[in-house]
Amino acid sequence: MVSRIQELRKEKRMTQEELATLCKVTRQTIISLENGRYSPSIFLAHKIAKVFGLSIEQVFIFEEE
Amino acid sequence: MDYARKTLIFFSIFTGVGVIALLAALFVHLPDGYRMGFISGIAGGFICTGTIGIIISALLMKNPKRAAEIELGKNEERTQLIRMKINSAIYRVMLYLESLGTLVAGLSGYKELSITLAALLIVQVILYIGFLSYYAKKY
Repeated sequence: MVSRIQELRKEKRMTQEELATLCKVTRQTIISLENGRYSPSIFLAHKIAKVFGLSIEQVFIFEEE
Repeated sequence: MDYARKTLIFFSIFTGVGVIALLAALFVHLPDGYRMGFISGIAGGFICTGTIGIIISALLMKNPKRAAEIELGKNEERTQLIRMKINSAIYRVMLYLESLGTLVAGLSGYKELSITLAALLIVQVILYIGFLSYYAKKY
C-alpha cells in the first residue's frame, strides 16, 4: 500500500506534529505511515482522509500483488 | 478519570502495600530470617517504586498536556500493535528457552528444576489454548 500522506501534508503546509494531533496519534506514527513501515487501521485511515477532506482511496493507494 | 489521577491511585496502592510489608517486617515474627530478607525486600522495592510513581504522577497532574501526550502514546493503535508483537515474541522465545532448560536440567540430574520448568511449560500451553479459543470466539 502506498500512502500520499507526506505529499498531501506538504500541500496543506502542515507539520507531522499538527497532523498527529488532529488524528490523535503520535508523531512517530505519522513518520512510520509516511515511510510505509506501518499500515493504518481502517479507523485511522478514515481519520487521516477526513483531515485532508478526501476519501481513503485518494490517500492510500492499494496495489494488487 | 484522567491518566495522571489513575497513575497516582495505582502508585498510592503500591506504596501502601510496601508500608504494610514494612510493618510486617518490623512487628510480625517470621521464622528462618524471612523478616529481614524477603519481606524487607518487598517493602523496600514497593515503597521506592511507589514513591517515585507518586512524585511523577503529581508532576503530571500539574502538566495535563504532557499527561495527555503520554496517555496517547500508550493507547494509540501503533503502540498497541508493537506491544502485542513484543508479548508474542517474548512468549515464543520463553517457550524455546524453557523447553531447552527442561531438557538440560533433566539430563544434568536436576530433577526438581526440570519438573518445575516442565510444569511452567504445561501451564503456558494450557493458557495459550484457553486464550486462543476465547479470542477465536470473540472475533
